[in-house]
Amino acid sequence: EEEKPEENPELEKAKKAVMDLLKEKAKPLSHRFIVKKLSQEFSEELIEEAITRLLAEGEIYEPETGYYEPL
Amino acid sequence: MTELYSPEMKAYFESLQREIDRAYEIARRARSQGKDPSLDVEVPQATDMAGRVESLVGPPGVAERIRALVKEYGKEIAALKIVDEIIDGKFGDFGSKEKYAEQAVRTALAILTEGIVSAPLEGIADVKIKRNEWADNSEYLALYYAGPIRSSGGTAQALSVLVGDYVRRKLGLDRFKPSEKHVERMVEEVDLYHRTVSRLQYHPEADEVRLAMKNIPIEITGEETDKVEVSHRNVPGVETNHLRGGAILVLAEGVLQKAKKLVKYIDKMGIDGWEWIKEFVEAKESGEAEEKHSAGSTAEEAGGEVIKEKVEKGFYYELYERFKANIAPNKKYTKEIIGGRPLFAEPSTNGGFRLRYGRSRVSGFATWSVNPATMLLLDEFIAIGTQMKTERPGKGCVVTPATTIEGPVVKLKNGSVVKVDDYETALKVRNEVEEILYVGDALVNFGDFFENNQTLLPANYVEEWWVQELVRAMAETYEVELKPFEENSREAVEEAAEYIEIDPDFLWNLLRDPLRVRPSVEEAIHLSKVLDIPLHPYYTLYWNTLKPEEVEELQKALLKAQIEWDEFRKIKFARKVIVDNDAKIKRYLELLGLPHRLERTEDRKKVIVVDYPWAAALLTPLGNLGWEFRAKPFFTVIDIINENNGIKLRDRGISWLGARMGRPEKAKERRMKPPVQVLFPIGLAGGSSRDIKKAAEGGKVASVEIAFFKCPKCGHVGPEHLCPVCGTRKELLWHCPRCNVDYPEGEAEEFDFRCPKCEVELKPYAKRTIKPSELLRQAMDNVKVYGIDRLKGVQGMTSGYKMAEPLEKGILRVKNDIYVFKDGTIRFDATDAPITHFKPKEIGVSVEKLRELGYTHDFEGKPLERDDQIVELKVQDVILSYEAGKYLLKVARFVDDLLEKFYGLPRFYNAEKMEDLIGHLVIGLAPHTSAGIIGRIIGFSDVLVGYAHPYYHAAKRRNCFPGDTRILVQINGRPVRITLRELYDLFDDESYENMAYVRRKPKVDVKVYSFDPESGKVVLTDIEEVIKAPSTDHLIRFELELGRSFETTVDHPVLVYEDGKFVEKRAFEVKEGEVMGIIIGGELNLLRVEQVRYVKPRDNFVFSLNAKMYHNVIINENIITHQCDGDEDSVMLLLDVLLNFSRYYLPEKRGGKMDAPLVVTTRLDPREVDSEVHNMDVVRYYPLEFYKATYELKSPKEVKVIERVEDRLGKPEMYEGIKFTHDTDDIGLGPKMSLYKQLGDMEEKVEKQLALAERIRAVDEHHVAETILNSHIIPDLRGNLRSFTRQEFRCVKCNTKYRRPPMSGTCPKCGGKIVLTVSKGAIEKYLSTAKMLVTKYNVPSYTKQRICMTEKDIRTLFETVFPEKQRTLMGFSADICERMIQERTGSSNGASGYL
Amino acid sequence: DYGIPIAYVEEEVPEEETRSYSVYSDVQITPKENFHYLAAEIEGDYAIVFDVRNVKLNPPRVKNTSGKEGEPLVEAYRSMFGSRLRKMRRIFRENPEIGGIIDIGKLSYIKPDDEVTVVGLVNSKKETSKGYVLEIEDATGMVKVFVNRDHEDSKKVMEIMHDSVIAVTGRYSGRGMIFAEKIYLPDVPKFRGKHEPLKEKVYAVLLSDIHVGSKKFCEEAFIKFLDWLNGDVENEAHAELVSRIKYMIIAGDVVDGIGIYPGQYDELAIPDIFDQYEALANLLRNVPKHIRMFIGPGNHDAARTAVPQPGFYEEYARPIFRLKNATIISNPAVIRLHGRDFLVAHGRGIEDVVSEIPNRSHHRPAEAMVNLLKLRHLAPTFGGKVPIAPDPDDLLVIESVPDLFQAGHVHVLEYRIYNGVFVINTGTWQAQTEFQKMVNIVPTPARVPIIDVETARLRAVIRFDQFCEGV
Ligand SMILES: [Fe+3]
Ligand SMILES: [Zn+2]
Ligand SMILES: [Zn+2]
Ligand SMILES: [Zn+2]
Repeated sequence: EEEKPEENPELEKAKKAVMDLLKEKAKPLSHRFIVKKLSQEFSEELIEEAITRLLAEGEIYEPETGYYEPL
Repeated sequence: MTELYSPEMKAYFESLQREIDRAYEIARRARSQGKDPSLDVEVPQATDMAGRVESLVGPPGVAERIRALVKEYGKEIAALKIVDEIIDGKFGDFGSKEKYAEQAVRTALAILTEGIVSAPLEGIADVKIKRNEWADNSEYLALYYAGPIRSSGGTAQALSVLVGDYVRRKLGLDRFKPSEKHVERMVEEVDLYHRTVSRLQYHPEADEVRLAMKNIPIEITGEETDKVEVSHRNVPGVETNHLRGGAILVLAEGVLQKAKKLVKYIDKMGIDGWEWIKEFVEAKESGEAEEKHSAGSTAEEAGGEVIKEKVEKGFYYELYERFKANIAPNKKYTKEIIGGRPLFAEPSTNGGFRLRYGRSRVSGFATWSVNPATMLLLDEFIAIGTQMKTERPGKGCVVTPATTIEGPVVKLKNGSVVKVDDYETALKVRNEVEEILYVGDALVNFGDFFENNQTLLPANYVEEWWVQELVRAMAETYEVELKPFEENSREAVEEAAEYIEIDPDFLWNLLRDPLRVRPSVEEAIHLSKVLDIPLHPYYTLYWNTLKPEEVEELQKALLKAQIEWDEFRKIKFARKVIVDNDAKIKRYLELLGLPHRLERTEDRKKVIVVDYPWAAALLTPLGNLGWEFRAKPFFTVIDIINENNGIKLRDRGISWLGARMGRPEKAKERRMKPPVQVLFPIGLAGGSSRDIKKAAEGGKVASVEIAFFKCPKCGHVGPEHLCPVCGTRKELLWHCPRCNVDYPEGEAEEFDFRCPKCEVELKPYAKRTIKPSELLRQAMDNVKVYGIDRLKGVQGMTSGYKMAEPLEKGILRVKNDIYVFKDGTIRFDATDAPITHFKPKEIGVSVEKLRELGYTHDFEGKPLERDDQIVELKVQDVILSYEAGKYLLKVARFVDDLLEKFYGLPRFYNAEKMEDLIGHLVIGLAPHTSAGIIGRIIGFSDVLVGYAHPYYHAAKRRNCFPGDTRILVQINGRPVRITLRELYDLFDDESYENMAYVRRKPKVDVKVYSFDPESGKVVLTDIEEVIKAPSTDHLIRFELELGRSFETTVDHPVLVYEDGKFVEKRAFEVKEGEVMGIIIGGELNLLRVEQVRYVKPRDNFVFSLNAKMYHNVIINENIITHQCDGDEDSVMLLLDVLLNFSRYYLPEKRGGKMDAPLVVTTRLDPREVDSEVHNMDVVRYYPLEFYKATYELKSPKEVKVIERVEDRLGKPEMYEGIKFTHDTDDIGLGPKMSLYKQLGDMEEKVEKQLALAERIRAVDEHHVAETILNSHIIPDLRGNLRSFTRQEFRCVKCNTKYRRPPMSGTCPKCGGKIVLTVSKGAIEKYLSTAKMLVTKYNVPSYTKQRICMTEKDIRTLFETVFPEKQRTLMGFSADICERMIQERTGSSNGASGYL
Repeated sequence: DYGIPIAYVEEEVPEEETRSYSVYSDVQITPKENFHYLAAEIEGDYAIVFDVRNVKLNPPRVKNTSGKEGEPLVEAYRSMFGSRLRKMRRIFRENPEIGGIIDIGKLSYIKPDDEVTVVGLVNSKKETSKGYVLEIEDATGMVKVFVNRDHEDSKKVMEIMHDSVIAVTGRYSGRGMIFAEKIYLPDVPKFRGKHEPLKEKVYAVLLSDIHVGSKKFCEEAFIKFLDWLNGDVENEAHAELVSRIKYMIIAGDVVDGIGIYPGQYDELAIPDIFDQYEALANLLRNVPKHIRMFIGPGNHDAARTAVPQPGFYEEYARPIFRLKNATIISNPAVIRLHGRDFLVAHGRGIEDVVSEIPNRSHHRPAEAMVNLLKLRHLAPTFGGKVPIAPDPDDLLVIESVPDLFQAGHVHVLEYRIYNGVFVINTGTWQAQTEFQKMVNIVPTPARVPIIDVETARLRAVIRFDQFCEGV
């Protein structure tokens, strides 16, 4: 299946940053922490967006509301 | 040198010293009045070597010189310089040349042997100047070695000879020129001694003895020591024709054996004229080089590595396997169960004491803290201070409370299961308990594992571990650094709380006190989920108690259960579970330790109800039944859960400890039996209560052995030290027992304490007539106290001088209702309990008062303001029990009365109530030592123990044997008998602790033989340490049958065979006629004690050793226990001791002029105390690395992450900043007195103990019944049976003992009636208990047969005297023995039903 | 139970097994065919001339018996010593050397320095630089006796045990002290009348300390011995011996017992007292029927623990009571075989001899037995190692001189002749135990002394110890 993502380089960067962070910790991380941790580089909205995307793409899941872990 | 103390500690010690000085000053003023045996205080403060030498042997003023000379020249040369100075008269005129010589020899030798406290020169009876009559009649010096000096240490003996020679030359005396007779006499003696008396460790050749005799420039001689006659009789100048043991040993084991060492000293001290010995050594060494033989090699057993198939195993399965393979249950403590002292848990049994690592603030070493609820639900058999015998890490412990650890899980009679973690709940449910499923936690400190080198057992999952996992996860995942057990910064906590969405206040509290603060179950699940940490231990069940198959069944049952679900942050959790009351399922839930209850539904069906939060604790690990639990080989329940479930578990119940009750706690004033109020002899005049008052009222005259004093001025004679007529200090009268003449001390001294007429040795006392009425009236007048109703004295004095105490002291004791101990002091005994931190409110002391006493901050450094702050205890402060407080208050009043009314000095304590004693000083003393330690009272607790710093308790202990005691050891695989002194020399690595030298590193492979009383076998065991300590002031000598004998310190525990088993007794408690176990040629023989004598130590040191595993070692063929844990130590009021203690009251043969008095340590140095305490850990919590190490079953020595006292020694931190891991609400919370002490006869004791055994899941009551029978009741029955038939007989009137009844039927001494000492009743007393036990419990038929045979034995023994009439018919078939016989033989005997 | 298969290694005795041991019911030996037993044809001639059970003991009379149990017991012991003294005086009276014996209580009527003879129990023995001071007591009083070290009888003092009875001749000093000139032990006469010779030689085998039930019981050796008795012999000489054996005396410790010492369980092959006797009987039923067995108890047996021991507890030892050719005897007992008196005792008194008399050893029991013989008592010391029952009569006095004195108890075969009495300790059937090994006691198991009844002397010692493990 061919996908045609709207390439938003900033969002991709944010997604990667979130993924990297999650992989680094290898533990579920809370929303608040991810936002705080990446707040230097990205805006809160962007991180939100990245997380939503990652969830949608099935890259990560939410073991408990507000906590994310790579699948 | 760095400062040892912080300014605060320095101030503390200085304030103690000021108080000490104040007390000494007062005591000196009182003593100097001359109303006591000695004019000065008889309790010196521990001091340096020079000071010790001076107080030991004098001469006065020598200490200062020694200090100066040692500094300049070193010890050896200083000793000789002192000799010079003494002989030059620098220390005054000693009268005769002989006296100079004697003083010089003694002082020099004291210096060379460190002068540690006690008499170093007891071995030298005399120093004389004699003439070489058989040669040129020149003068020479003779040293008389006393009694059985045996080897007072070869080196010291050899040195005494050297010093003697130096003195000889200094005095310008000629050499000793022995004749052929002298030489041959010694040759014979050495050999004869070796053959007939005792094997010499070094048995010199005849020519070696000849060489030594001809060359040693002084005469080595002595008194006869053994009744063995020599054939070289009547040698000129030699006073005896019997063996001179002392001289023989000095020659053989001293000079000759220690020749090499002697040479070193000769060189060091530059003494000439001893070239012969150098040649001797050289000749010896070149000869010996060839003789060396190789030691037996120990064959290493080839450990066969078995290649195992790789199977997949669960983590815990694998851990259990390793655990099982490495650490076997230790059943030793269960081998003996005494009637009334229950077994609380079988070895390593699930449901017993759950091991919890940590140290509470009422713990030091060999202490277990348990939840007070546990104490209560174990029927109060355990109270605070009760001792237990434990499976591990050590053999025993004392119990203290800790409320922050878990209590029992119990099943009640109504079927519900309750976790009982607090005292109130325990009180509520105590009468409803049906089964104790889990006994509860035992908090054991890491230091005890270290001390005992006990492999670490896998840690059970607990809060203090969990919180660290939480903190670590916070740091690793969320990068917030938090600290457990601390007040964290608000900022960090808030940040963390935000990330994980919990209340910051809660988190702050949780971190600060994770033992008391815990999350709700849903929060716990949340935390586990988001932080990926195991479920909180509180909500973790004992999953691994169940088998996987059982959990499978349980899960199936739960699938049918009625479950109420709830949600928290979208996490599902169970709120309530209702499941059918199936017996099996119910049991599984019970074994999980899951609280639940039974309820009746409308249709009257019983169901099991699990409420919040336990429903969640049950279902969360099972994935809320979302996955199927399937048993799987090599996986434990937890392994299976962890494989399937999101939330992981750690095992909370891997390591279990077994324990049984040891001795009950104790806090009681010491009374002699019968109680004594004054050390004054009254003979039979006072009746059986030795009442002087009664004797006085009856106008009786008593004839007693007593010391009398004569007034030099007016000639008044009587027992008082001070003349009642003219107030002059009187002189002791020495008495000739043969011609009945008295000589005042001055005269007696001139006659050398021998009767000038009949040459008999004079005695300081005589049988004299006293008039109690006159003496008492005088004494009453003196102190103006009249209305006393009694005054209990002693029948006769046992002391060497038989000096009586002033009656006034007794009157004042009566007035204040207190009793005296044999040394003149008043003591209060209590079980030692450790404490390192306290709260002011616990000990009934105000914050203001504490501040005055130097307590300004709490243990976390905050200013002390409230009475619930936790404060670190200063090392010499003590917290007494109320009982002790009440008693010491009376003692204080007595002391004040004494000062005021007897000595005419101002009152000192002025104490109205217990609290007024706070800040005052006491002396703490352990039974085995003669060195007390100063303590300061800071409060009181309503418990029956003496709470003090672990250091303080450790500062008191030591116990020992004389250095010449022989011990059976194995060196390099070969058994040899050597002296303890030699054993000491086989060790290295000396340290000085608690006024004793300790060595721990063996130079050779050496093991010691112990006796295992259970198997009756001699066993080999390792030696943990050897100890050289200052000698006590007297020893006890036991003369046994077959001419065996041995000596030990007076308080030393020895094993006595009694009632069919070995029991521990103090040496002084052992009476003539008792039986001891002796190993002769390896065979256990029971020998009777023929004579018990007090003797003076011959040596300045006593020795001891600690043998692993067993409490005893084989000494001079005797089995002796070497240490005795759980003794009650005593406290005495300082001023009472200083005023009233006198060594003249102590039991001993001859009043030793240079005998060691009691010594008191004024400043506690942790480096010098019993090293056990050095292993005490001092941290706030044990880190994660530690818990990891426990899973790896590491040796405690490999764990470097926990700081112990040892790590702080030599630094100011050794005194302060000690931490504990577990708090407790109150150090006095828990039962005060063990139920044991409240039970009546054996039947009741045994019943109560078995009722408890039936209740505890971790105890098998049948096993308990059997063990009680085998370890206590049968030995008692058999032993009494045996002793009945070998018993002594006694006169009821005068108490004289007879080996058999006198032929006349009455006492030949007084005509009194003769009675048994072992009654028929004594034999039978446990028989009914025994039969009850075999009837009620399943005991092996072997045991049953033993009981039935014993019953028969008892019956037949009395058959002739009481023919048949004793039998009470109890229905033959009901009788267990009758039933057994019928079963086994098919016929009834009809005759054994006897009860 | 940890909920997973964890089995800790049990070091304890496991649950009771059901008889995992043998009680020798399979041991069935029949006499060798055609073996000729001379003894079967010889008329038996035996009698138990002394057995504790035949002595009527009267309970002591006490003035007021109300409640107090102690009084009769003290009185029983006291009268036991009284009876000892009386019996010993009788023995001394037979000694022509000893003149008129006078009561100690009457000494005060004696002129100082007159010669007197007293008889009394020895209360104490003290050594001084010049000699020994004994205190002796009779029914009328006590007196001290001084024996000079240089006196020839001072050696005898060494052999005196506490509570034994001696006679002393000497000068009475007045102040409660006799200066001994002569010390007499009861002793046995140097020479004795000869017995009539027997028409036909008959033999007796003497055993003791079989210790059936012990792990160290030499069962193979014992069975070999039984085979031997049943005619399984190697040579003519042995055949002659076996053929003439008519009696077998077993002097106690026939089984190992239970609970005799701590930790015994681990040393037992048969930890059951009923089965021990069952096992013993199963063995002894193989003793040929014409051999009369006399079986007495020892300290390991199911019998009264204190001496004298009247016999076995029948309910426990029933199997041996049922043996047709066995006679149960007491400890001690005197058996008269063809007119010869055999004194049989288990021999606990040896323990006291060893601990009281210098230079005695467990390894030389016959020597110790001679000491007992000289003192004419099987266990003189009260309060020593031997438990002594409160019987009002002293049944341990060796009242008449036996021809043979047999004891066991110390597990060492040794014999000697003293003044015509054959003294023998009959060893054991128990190999060295762990404990004995450790303490270096070397027993001499599985040696069978054969006594010629006519002379009451040893005829042979047959050894089976090669069949005993660990020997
Ligand atoms: Fe035996
Ligand atoms: Zn005067
Ligand atoms: Zn005199
Ligand atoms: Zn009396």
